Amino acid sequence: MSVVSLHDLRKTFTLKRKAPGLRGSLRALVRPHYQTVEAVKGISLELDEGELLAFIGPNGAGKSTTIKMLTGILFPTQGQAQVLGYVPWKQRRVLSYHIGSVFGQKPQLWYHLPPIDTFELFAHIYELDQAAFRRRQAFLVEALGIADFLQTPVRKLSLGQRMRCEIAASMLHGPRILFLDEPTIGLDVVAKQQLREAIKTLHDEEQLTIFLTSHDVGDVESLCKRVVVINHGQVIFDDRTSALKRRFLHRKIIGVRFGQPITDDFDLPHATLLKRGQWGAKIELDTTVRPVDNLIAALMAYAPVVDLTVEDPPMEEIIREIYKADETVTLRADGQANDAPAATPDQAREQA
Amino acid sequence: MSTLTLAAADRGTWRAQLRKYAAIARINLQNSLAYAWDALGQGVFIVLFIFVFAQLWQATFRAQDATVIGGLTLVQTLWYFVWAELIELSRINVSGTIQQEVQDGSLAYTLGRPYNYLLYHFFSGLGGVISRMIIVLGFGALIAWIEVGPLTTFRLETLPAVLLITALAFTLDYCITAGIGLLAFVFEDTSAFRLIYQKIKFVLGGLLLPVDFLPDAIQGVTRLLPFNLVLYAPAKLFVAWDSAQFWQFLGLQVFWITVLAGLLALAFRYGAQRLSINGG
Repeated sequence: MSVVSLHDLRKTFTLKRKAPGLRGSLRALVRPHYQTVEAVKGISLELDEGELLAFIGPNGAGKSTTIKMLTGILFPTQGQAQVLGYVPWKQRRVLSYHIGSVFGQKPQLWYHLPPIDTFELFAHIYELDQAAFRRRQAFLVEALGIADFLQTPVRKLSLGQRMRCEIAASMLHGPRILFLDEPTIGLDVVAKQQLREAIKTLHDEEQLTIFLTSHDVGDVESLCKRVVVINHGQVIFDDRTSALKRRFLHRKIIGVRFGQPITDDFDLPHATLLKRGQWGAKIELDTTVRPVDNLIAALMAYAPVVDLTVEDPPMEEIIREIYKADETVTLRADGQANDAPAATPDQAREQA
Repeated sequence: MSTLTLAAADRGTWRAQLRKYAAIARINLQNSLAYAWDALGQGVFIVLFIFVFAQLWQATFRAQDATVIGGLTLVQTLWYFVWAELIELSRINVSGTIQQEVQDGSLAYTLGRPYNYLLYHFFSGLGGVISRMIIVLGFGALIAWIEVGPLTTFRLETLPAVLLITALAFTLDYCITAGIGLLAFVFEDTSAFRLIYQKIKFVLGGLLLPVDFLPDAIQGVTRLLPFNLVLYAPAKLFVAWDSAQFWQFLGLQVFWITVLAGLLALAFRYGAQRLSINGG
């Protein structure tokens, strides 16, 4: 059953423009110049109950604008949307009791008070039964692993701890859909992983529908079965995450640092050496040609490894790949890929 | 777990709404304790202010060789300023916050929460008012007592009525300052309006001197405007209780609050509709 439905949703902003310098400032006073920016250009999609959807794209792609329209914060310029049968921007007060939202850059916790005080406040704001609220709070504290710092002022929490508390706060009233806007922004690797696990736990335990925006491909890989990629306000990819991984996430950037200097005979077949220093190197790997574990094994066999990183290519590069791969045919949500599937990791391992 | 299983039995009733806004006031009271030093700073300010005014008005009363000016004795005049300053220093100073929230778009985020934005700020502000009032009143009363002695004309049985007029004064002031904050939907910067309002309160509101001390022609105009109801009305009743004046002030405060709250609601609705945030 569809719980979120968007049809040809559009949002246009009018921005004031000013030419540089004093002359520009004076001219803007007399005759202001406005520019129209289309942030969202006709997005259509459906989200089923219990689905965990990643809505990803680079900065300025229109992700946050879309989520703001779905939570009733912004009026669209054109198009329709329904969330749990409500039109968000017309029925936002009623809808607010059924959805939760976390905006990574707009905290809702009281900065000088411990999270538990904000939770108490939210219990009253959402008009919850006190006994039910206590049970709910206990469940979320356990699921999100926030018991240790529940009574620490928010200003003293790390960003990751704060974000888990933000999610708990937005889940207290038992929403059916959780909108997460860039929840992992600014987090370190460990905090990101903890947050992803917490989100996964909530999703699994409550069959919660989650709409997650991010510009971090790692969020998608570890959390979501379905991914929608948006760029310049348009959906350019809507398919299973496995399809995205198979077709566009098969390149990895591997950084390695050895315990001894690199010799001249350092050579890695089926991998591209991007950068080479005296002690380390940066290598680009196509996992359909050679799997990551195979390359790591080769690196460890070459010399003692003191540090190793495996990174995804940046979002902009993935989007470039999507455009490159699909210049003539539109990708569709039904998974009918229009090109031959790339080799699976197992096939690649055999080839390597 | 759905919201229905968590909802309080009286969700949507006046009682639940009252609890909601009381909780908002309470959390800001808690939060204001984190700024206790700021309130102490205001306490120091009122000490300086009352001390300077004490010297000034003692000199004035001596120079005029008068025991009463504009219907007030020296003791009443000084305690008048204690109460007027108490309101001025403790009031819900929300215009800057609202301007900021309009400009950076954070106001939009509150639209998706189940409360009224203007009531949220009002009750949130009230939470801070209580702690500031206690501190400012403590310091103000101490210095006034030292300078001119106790306010012997004060009648304890009038205190509830004085507090009611004071509470309505805070409400009226909130309507005006919130309105100034909402002007940010139209003007980039509302600090000029804040400054004008502050100066009007000084002259026509009774902060610099009680309205009774103004020339008759100006008094006539001043009493028609809402500004004297913010500071003069509660401070005057505090030092010189008058039942007839109480009912007059009450009626005028209710009238102005109704008018300004209506305008505020309209301005907010207009602003919320044209809100645009840079997303994505």
